[in-house]
Amino acid sequence: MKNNKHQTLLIIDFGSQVTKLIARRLREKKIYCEIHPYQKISHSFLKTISPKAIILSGGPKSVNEQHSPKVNSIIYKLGIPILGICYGQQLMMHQLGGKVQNSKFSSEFGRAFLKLKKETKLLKGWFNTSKEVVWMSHGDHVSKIAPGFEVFAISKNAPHAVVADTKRNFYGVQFHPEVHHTPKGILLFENFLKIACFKGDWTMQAYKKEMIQNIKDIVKKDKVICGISGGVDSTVTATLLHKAINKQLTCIFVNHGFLRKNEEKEVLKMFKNNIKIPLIYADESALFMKELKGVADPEVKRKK
Amino acid sequence: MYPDVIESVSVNEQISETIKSHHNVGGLPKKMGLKLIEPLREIFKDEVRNLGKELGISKEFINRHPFPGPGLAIRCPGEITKQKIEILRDADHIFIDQIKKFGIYDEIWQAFAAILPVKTVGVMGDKRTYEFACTLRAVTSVDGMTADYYAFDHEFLKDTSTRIINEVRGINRVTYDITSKPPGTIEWE
Repeated sequence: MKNNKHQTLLIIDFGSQVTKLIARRLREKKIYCEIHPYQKISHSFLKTISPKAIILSGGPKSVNEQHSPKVNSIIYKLGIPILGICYGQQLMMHQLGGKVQNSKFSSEFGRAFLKLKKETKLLKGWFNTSKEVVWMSHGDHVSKIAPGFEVFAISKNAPHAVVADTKRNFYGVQFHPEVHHTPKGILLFENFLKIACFKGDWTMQAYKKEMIQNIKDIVKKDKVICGISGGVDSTVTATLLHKAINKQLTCIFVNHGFLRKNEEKEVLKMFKNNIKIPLIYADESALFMKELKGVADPEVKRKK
Repeated sequence: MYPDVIESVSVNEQISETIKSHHNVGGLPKKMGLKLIEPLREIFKDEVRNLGKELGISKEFINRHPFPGPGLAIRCPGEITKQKIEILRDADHIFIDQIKKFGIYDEIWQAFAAILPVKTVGVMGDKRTYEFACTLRAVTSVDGMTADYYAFDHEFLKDTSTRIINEVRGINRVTYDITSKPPGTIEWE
């Protein structure tokens, strides 16, 4: 389901557990963004997405390892702002001529304090006091910055905690602005979005309209089955589908025997009276109980 | 949704690890002769709720706690039996009823009971009992990605434990799960 009407920010993922939180923070700011793994980045791919800015995520590897993830360096030639976070910063330095090191004194995990070296647009609104709390999680650190870059802030074990090439609008931070434990993280994203001239044009209202159109385009004259559990997700999905394709939609609610007390009655009542979408009900609790007999392993259970 | 996607298949399987497979992600048969439409794949739970509001679904329904597709089956560690599910269903019902009664339903992201695969000794009416233990779980969260356990009043816990043990046959011990996510997950399985 593609979306080309909005200004797009591309998040390139290097496998961090918190990459999704970057998207989360940006969505709060009404920014349309997409997360894609680093291997996918090619000239033609970038052309399709046509991003207005790029964020490079963190990741568990070291850029000095032979098979560590490297992104196609054409991203540095697009003339758009780039923000590298943690591994993303290290990779940017590595690819643009800097150096990354691992030593006993180069790691920081958890809370760290950032000290300002020089004012930058990226940290506007930070440093009301002399230091700011940030959340770090790194083994390596940048030991030599790439040509064209300057250091704007430091921490105890990251001498290049915030670096930037303000001419090309390339920024790198060693800490994680996307986690709540970096209290001013959102402000950093806001500043970056300002640098990249984003308008903030992505809202749920727009998403609804686009999804309805998308569904129509995909389904055409076909028929669609929607499984209902009675939860918020499946109900929202059903309502959205119903708005888009009306009678081409059939909703089915299977009782697998593991529902909460009175749940089946409540769901049926709600679909009839409030949602007003026809619903087919099937009680298959005996079948599910039979299939799960003797199964104790949680992964097997979930997949049965 | 996004939290489901991240817990199941990471964008890069080579690099990050699967935490647990999610029923909403990749749990479908490989060959089913059908095409898949997933309009909520790219949005978060609270965004799903906003979308629901945008679609005119009633607020009361939108604010319901999340409930997993496999339902009570993943709140019953070990082998599932009909008897255990029935015990669990009653305990869970009382717990949620208590939360609503105390007016704290909307402060909690998700709350449920789980039945533990262990029987312990108790004493009820001067008689020895040997029944299942259950645990209560209630967490606060913004988007389901991280969560903290909810700090109930002791009055609430006392009242709820008494109700569960008095009203549900088959449970003689109630515990409260105080693990955050991470390191725990919200559900038990």
